[in-house]
Amino acid sequence: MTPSDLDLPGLDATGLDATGLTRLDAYPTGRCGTVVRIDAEFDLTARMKALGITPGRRLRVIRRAPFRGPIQVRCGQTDLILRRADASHIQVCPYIPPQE
Amino acid sequence: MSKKRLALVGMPNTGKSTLFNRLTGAGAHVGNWPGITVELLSARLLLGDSMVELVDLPGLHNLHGFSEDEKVARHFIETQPVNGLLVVLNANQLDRQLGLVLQLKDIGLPLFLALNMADEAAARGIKVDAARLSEELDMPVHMISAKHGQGIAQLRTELTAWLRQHPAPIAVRSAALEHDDQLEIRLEDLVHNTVHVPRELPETLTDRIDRHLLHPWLGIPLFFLLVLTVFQLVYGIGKPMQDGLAWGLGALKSAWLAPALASLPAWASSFLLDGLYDGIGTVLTFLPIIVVFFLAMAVVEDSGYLTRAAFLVDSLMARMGLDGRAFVLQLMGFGCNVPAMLGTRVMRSRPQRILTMITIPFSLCSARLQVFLFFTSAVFTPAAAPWALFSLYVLSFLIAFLTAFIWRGPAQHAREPMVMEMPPYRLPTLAFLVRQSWRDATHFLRQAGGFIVLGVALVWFLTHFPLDAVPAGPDTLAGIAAHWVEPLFSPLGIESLLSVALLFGFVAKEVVIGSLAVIYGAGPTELSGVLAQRLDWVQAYSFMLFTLIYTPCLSALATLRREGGVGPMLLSMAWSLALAWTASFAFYQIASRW
Ligand SMILES: Nc1nc2c(ncn2[C@@H]2O[C@H](COP(=O)(O)OP(=O)(O)O)[C@@H](O)[C@H]2O)c(=O)[nH]1
Repeated sequence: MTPSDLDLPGLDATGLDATGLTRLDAYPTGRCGTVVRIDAEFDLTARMKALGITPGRRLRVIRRAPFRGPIQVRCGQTDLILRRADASHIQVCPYIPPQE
Repeated sequence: MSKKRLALVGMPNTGKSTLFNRLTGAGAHVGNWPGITVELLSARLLLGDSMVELVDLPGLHNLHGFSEDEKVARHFIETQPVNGLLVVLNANQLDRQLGLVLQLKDIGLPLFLALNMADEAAARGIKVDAARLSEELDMPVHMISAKHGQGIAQLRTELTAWLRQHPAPIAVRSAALEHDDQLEIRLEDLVHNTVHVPRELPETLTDRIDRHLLHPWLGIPLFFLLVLTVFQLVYGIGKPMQDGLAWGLGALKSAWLAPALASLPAWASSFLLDGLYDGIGTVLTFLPIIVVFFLAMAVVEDSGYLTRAAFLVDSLMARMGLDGRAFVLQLMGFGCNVPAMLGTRVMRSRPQRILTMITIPFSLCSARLQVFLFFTSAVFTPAAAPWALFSLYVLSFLIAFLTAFIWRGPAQHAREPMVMEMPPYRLPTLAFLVRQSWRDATHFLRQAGGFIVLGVALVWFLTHFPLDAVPAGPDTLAGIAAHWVEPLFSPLGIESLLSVALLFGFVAKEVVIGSLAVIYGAGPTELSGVLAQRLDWVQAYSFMLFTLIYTPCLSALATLRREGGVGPMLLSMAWSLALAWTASFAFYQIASRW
């Protein structure tokens, strides 16, 4: 698998400060980000890892459900839904695609 | 010939059940295992010269799993000796799913890897180097499509050879799990070396559909539209079939059965014709509609749309102490409440699980649907009947929500995380649908063959004994029983004979229509006429309200007891009876004075 395997059509770097961390629930829809840290309890972290969310991996928020419902996240070949409360344990930094 | 045992392991939704059915055919049975609290599906499978018992384990995300399902799977692996594990992975998602294999490798059981959904992977241009993967993992690896049958014959051959190398069942080596970080590095290497994913993934059909179905404003209205369409479809197809069957059974009775039995004593022919034949016949006319209904449910369930429904409504459900999954189970309960209750096993928090289980019995199941179809089409005009039925579905949800809201107690604070996969849209195969409808039809007939016959016979006895009394009159046993419960039911506008049917409905709602046929001495075709004569719409609706709300059936209660304990079962019983009475009372008292 190549490092850019997560590139998706319509992807761009966010305008955020590259060193700043954002909680996944607040991360802009459609932007690609890299997971930096997961601060959840042990078994939730394990579940997230099993579903593909681990530090270093890239993901993208696809959409948000109405009335502050869950968010849909694409990580690798897997689409996930997670509640915003659960997503808030995931720290993300903007992904900047390597210069070509 | 030696007996061997193999367990199917994998994450949820990887196609374990599909593979299980593909390998074993129809002969599966549910069994109890020592030390394991839930029943597991297993079946015998002939591989070469050995008989292998294949056990389908619940989905497992990782070995630290926290849901009931995961605990069961892990406990099985830890305690039951097996010759090996047949691990099923989704070939599209090896980037994360291979982690489970690395964990499993550490416990020392022989592993055989089946990479499923080869068809989807090919369509997406994902390539897996199975030979290299097999080498790196030191275990057989095989690409298959359980749904379409690709690679299954070869899988059998290789499984046979592999089992020869592992002739004796072994128990796990309980080594401490390798540190996760190390495992992740290995996972990354492994994926890098063996999986190739195209750089640009094209927008899939699923993405395009979801743009509409998960639209922030249109999503929920579209959901309701979809539910309505499914129901329209079910009635459009099922109702004419039901009417035809009722007509056929009636014709058979008058043209052939009645003359043939004319020589029997009056009570005997009454028992056979007005008791068994009418009672069972009336229930049987629902077979087509039930099968069509379950087929539609199977398509919806298999399509992956239910996860999307959970996504859409989760935040609304959260206000009632429930979550999106509870809503989905509520929908599944439209078929039958019992499997929906078992579905709560994916939840980890016990208060939340119990709360969900208490709300599921209010879901309008197919057995209650029979009663409502009958009553609405008998008492309401053809234009009003669908709306009466629809209102009952809406009420079913409202009552479930009210119940959750009132009893949410500890579940409210035990909010458990909801993190789950959203699979792409899939269509079931025709073979799957045929098998499904066969299973549902036989299940329905077995029920009809069991306590429906018994119930109908008992109702006949109660309404015809003593033999010299007017059938179903005040002097019969049923009449006496009805007289006793009259003070309870007359304020609800439920006439005494109808209350006898409710008594039997406690066992199973399928019995209600059958026993009404017996009570009123009417066959499938005549019963609606009799009901229309005896009941106005207010009384009929009050009866339906009571039927909707009170305890669904003994099986549901038994399930609640087994899964939740005696306390929740008693609570559910008392609450639903009290609520049913209050709701019918309020409705009847208000509506009849209007
Ligand atoms: N495209 C495709 N779909 C499959 C295949 N095997 C299973 N499925 C679908 O994947 C979904 C999950 O399958 P199921 O057997 O219920 O998974 P389980 O949860 O692991 O038991 C269902 O919709 C199946 O129809 C396959 O080989 N190819």
